[in-house]
Amino acid sequence: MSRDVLKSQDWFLNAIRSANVKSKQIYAKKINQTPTFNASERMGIYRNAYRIRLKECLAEDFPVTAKLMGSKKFDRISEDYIRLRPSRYSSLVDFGENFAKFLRNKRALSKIFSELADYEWAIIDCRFTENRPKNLLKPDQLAELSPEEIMVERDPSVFAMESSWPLIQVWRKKRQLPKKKSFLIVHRRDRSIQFCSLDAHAYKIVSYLTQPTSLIAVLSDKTFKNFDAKIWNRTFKTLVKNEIVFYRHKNFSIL
Amino acid sequence: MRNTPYLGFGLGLRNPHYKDVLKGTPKVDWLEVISENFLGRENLTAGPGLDRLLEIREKYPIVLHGVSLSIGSADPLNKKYMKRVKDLYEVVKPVWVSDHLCWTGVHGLNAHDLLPIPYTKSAIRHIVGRVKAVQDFYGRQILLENVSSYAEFSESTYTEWEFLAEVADKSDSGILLDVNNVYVSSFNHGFDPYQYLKNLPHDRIQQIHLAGHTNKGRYLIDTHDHPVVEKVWQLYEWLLQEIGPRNTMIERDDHIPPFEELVAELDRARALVKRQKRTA
Repeated sequence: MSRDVLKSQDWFLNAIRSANVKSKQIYAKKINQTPTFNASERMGIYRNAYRIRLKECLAEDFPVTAKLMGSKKFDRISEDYIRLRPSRYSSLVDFGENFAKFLRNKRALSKIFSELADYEWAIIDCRFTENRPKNLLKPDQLAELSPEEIMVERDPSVFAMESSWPLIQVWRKKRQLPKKKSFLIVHRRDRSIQFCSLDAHAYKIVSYLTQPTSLIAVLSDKTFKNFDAKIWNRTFKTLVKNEIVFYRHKNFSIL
Repeated sequence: MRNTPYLGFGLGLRNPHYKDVLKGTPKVDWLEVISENFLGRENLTAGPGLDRLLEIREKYPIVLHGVSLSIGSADPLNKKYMKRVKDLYEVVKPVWVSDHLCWTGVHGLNAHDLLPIPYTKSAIRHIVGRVKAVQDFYGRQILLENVSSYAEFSESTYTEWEFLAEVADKSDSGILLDVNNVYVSSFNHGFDPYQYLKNLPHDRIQQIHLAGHTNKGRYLIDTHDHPVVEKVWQLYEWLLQEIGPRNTMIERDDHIPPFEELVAELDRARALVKRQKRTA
């Protein structure tokens, strides 16, 4: 390692990372200048490029967080992040890795921003995850094996996260993506009011059952002609389990 | 000395043009891509882009161009990064590989910029050792590209071309000569670009980059967002007369025009080589 090279690079990197512009004389000692292009301006190009490049990278990786926060605030927070968490990555693609955590630690900032940043980072991470392994068990093979022999795994691309905010809706709205229809229900379990979203199949069943209907009538109704047995069983099972739909004998009155 | 085959005229392949290349058979002889775009995230995979690149490789020779080797840095070589790059070389099998004669950071920090080196004897010694180590690790020669610069260290005792020539000769590496970068730096530092080109070891020049820049009046910024300017074409033509045809490529990183527009710009380079062959 060359000490001279280290010394020069140490100075140069500090000069472009520093928030304070040094005096023109200091730059002129280290950097050649011409009458029309002084050393301070020359270093200014590198200083600006350093900040702009990293800020653009954050804005590209967290577009909705930036939009929701507002450009001024996002710019200020990006400056802080660049100063306090300078890049140690070989590629820019990793620079935003700690941004959500950084936002989480800012107490004055609403948690929606860090959660949204987590969500946006998961979208980036997702692209780079392993593919699903090959040679997976098919459902009919399960019966031939004992539970000890069967492994249950989550797909490598799944990122699970908890949120107190409607992140997906916010993200879609701010990205101005076409609105996806959502299906929601409100119901009561004992004395507690419940809210939940349903998939399209479940919603179709729930909205169809405006009055008690015999199972045979439901099964033969043309409304459900596109439901295959798998969808039907899975959906019904979930609705029953969540106490949204129930079975009763036709001879027993509900009262 | 010259280890790379002559493939002709290429383009720097960027995201908006993948479809053009995958669907059609545009008139380019080879394509250069940025290695880092296919390394993926640290500790994760290369991502979906690599599959597309491998599909393109079936149609065109691929050249890999890195931006993060930081060969001039005072830090130790980043072995983890080099291992990922080497793995990529094994998958993509590029015809040749390159990076920049610069540093991108020190003390483990990365400015993600191509920063200028002090042109001193100790820097040459330092870099030559590193280039040799990199070439040994990759098991192949690398090409080093001259970067455009806005600042020169006052401690420099070599000119940029002397420095580049000595590093290339002593480390037995190739030169990727960016003619636009020569022009930008000559304007910013006030040297003669023809003197630069004349004094390089010509047999080490294995690839040429052509690109555009932004004119700020008192200085030029290497933005790669404009067509190649007339003065850079003149330098290229002069260079062709001096050294003969070399693998030549147009680079555009911003304000990327339709693919055909870049192919048309590349045709100008083809025409210059044809004309030169006729007059030779």
